[in-house]
Amino acid sequence: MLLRQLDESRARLTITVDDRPLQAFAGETIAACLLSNGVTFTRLTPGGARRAPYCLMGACFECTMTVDGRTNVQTCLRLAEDGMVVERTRTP
Amino acid sequence: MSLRHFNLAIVGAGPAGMAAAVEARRHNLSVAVLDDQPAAGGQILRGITTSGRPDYEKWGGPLAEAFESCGAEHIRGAAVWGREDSLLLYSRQGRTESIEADGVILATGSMERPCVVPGNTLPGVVTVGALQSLLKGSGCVPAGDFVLAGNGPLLLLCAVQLADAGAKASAIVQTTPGSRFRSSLWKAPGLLFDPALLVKGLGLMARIRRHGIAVYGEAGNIRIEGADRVSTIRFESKGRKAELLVEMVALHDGVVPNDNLAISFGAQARWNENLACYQLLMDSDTKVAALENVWAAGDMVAIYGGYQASITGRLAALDACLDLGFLSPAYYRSIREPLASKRRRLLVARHFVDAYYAPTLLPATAADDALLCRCEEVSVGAIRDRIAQGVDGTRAIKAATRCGMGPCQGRQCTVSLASMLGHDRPRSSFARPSLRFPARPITVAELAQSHQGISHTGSDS
Repeated sequence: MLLRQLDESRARLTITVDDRPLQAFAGETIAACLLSNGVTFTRLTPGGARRAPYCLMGACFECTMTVDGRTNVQTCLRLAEDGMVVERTRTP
Repeated sequence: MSLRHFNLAIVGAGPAGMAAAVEARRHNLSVAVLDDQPAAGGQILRGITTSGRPDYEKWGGPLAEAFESCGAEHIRGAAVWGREDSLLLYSRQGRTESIEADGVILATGSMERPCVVPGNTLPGVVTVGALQSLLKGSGCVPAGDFVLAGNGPLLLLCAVQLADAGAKASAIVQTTPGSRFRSSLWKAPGLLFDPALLVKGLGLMARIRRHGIAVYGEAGNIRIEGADRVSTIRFESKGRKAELLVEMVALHDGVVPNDNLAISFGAQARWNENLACYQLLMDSDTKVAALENVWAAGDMVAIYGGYQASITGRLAALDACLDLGFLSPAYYRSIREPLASKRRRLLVARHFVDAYYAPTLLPATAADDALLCRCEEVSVGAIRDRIAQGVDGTRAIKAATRCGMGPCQGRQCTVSLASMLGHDRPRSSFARPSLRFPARPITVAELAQSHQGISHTGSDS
């Protein structure tokens, strides 16, 4: 885990990331939830290198994933919602 | 679907945007505030309306409260990507929406200067601002060992905030050269009249010491290493080599204007060698040159920080109110002049901060294997080769290397490229590479939803 949630009394919710259920806390962005659950990369570059959320404010586009079927969603800008389906975008 | 109309649209709900909205509402304009974040506050006041944490600057709370009750429509999670006459287009949860506005105030703030060091793209490398965002917005802190490295006041501030929250950094690696303090004071003798700033800086250092966080000064030659993610940071400090085993490295080298949206609207910017960033061309302190009924405020115009942004936001709103016919010239002058003079008094210390915290992780002196363009994986070495071959000018290098053509649309490399060129070819062309509609990567489906006669696409005949 790269991150930990300070306030574990927050409401819990579940999102699915590449078919694996992950626990998130209400008020966390999807990117924060990934980094708190051992998901260490969000996309592959055209050259095949692993990339992970970097700026966490919407400027670097490293955290883009497919969310509920929509491609290239910046996961640092979206709050996690119960039942969300998140996938690594396969084609760069 | 009928299009909703507002007198004024403000892009960005940070200090400048919130203050502009409050001021414009005071003079009875209908106002929409579009912001890509889930809650108001921008970066410096992130989470102020949701988390209730007490450690924000004291002006932040009253501003956020005034914003929430001012009657402006706050459209959250809205990523603006286009403007055509009075139409503003944005994506929200993957859908295209639009509003009409007579005037637009751009208040898109700043972003962290891209840090070009080897290993900067490994998972586990983030910016210092990112750690602050995670703390303030999501309530998360690093779980394992981590280091803050680079230059700027945010480094110390963030280390203290994280330590107060229970996450103590293994070390702070400061790249500020040792000789800077004296040389910077020469440039800003006015600082001697601003002891509050010095006291603030010394106070932060004392809190770092109280937390027992190791500080490595005068550091350089930073390398971040790891197989699939960060495992080690190596550097030299005062001539001695050091290495630390960590899971996360947070980099910082100051902030630069976040001007992509303005540029894609057609604004012009000029390279400023001293500040090592592009600056928007303005007709006045708030009016964007070459664009009709578009004003700008806050750090996207010049980096003066959050409190100043709350003042320039008000100034921009007053200027918009006057030009849109909502204020009489006499009444306008009576409100504007006191605000403008307050702002001028606050500028004194800035020259010191600019000189003391000038960039340190210079791409021109970075190792060949450091990535300059993250998206297209263009290394410093590749750019260096092109410059040596005589490819000259920011736009020519972009065309030759694809630097700046990836999904971030040059947000992460344009400044680094110009800085490198400025070092090696000071007489080169620094024209800011063009940014065209749309200002955000959107899907064809989203574009298709915007069937309002957008001529730039050339596809709606």
